[in-house]
Amino acid sequence: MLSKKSEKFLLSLRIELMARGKSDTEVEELEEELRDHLTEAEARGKSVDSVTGGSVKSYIRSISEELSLEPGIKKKGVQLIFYIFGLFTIPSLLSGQFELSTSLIIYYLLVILFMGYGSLYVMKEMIVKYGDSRRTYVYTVSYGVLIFAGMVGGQFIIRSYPGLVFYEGTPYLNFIIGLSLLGVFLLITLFMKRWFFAVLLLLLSAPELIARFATDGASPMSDDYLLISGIILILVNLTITGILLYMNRKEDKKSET
Amino acid sequence: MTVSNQMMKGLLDGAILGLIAQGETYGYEILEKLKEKDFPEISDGSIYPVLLRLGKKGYVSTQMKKSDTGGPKRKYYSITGSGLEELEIFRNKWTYLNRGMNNLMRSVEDAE
Repeated sequence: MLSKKSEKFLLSLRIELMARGKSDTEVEELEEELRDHLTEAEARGKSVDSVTGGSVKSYIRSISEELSLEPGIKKKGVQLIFYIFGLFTIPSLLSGQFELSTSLIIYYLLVILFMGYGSLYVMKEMIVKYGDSRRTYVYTVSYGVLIFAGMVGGQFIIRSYPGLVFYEGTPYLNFIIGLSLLGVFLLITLFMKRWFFAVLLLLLSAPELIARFATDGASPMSDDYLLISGIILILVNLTITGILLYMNRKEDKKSET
Repeated sequence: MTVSNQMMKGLLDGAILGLIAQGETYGYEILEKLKEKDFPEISDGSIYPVLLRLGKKGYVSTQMKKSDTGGPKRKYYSITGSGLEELEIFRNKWTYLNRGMNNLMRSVEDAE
């Protein structure tokens, strides 16, 4: 059993190297090797400082230079932006209320920056600083809540101050474009075996699709449409939470064996 | 990085390759052997970037084995054919360098 300090070092090492896009296999092998080293060192009365030389950051930097990048990491990054774009745009098109404006473009860029890159950065920094502790969870969840509030606020700003509008289609045209894009995205995600994104996109599109068909094409502002899409949205949230919990538990079981 | 640090970095690669050439071994054992041989300025963690580098260049091969004592898995290193060739080159260069540096340093001492 390793000391808390050594465990924290190994966790920091893993997170930092993964954040730098290093190969998962190489990171895992290195972690196992250092775990073996630390177990033997601690049995002989040494501490983790004997490995790092006192500075965890500079040791991670020195070892990071020797590790390869995860194959296709840049391609995966571009794909992720493409998926996020689909996840945000398609449900909005299906509701018929999509409008491409300067505010929306700025909103998308901020979402990618703060929700994508920012969340990873905050999570990484918290884990490196506080390890697997309650403080890490509290700060990370707080950041998530802040981002969610920002996104909700952002939607209000977009509606009140759209700026320059580049595209404004009729609800029917938006719906047709949304449906076509949904088909294309589903085909691409299934072809690339990105099951999670395919299911996520379907679930996020479900409230608009079901409400539209159940109300026989009523206006998205009508009471029936809002009620049905609202109920489906709650069910979708519960399903997504369930899927994430299941995946997390599966991952935990896998790492235990 | 200072000149002496750069020199140590280069020598450590050759020293570790030399140790692995003596038989299959693992990280902690390599470190212990280096210390036994009085290899200077060696910290525990400094061998792992070197081992990664040697593996990438194909000079050593690795194998993960389960621990007998129920501890974590252990990574064992063996030298490859190209590693033996590199070690031979290193040894020759080191012999010349050592002779040359000794002659030079003696002349520095004489001048002082």
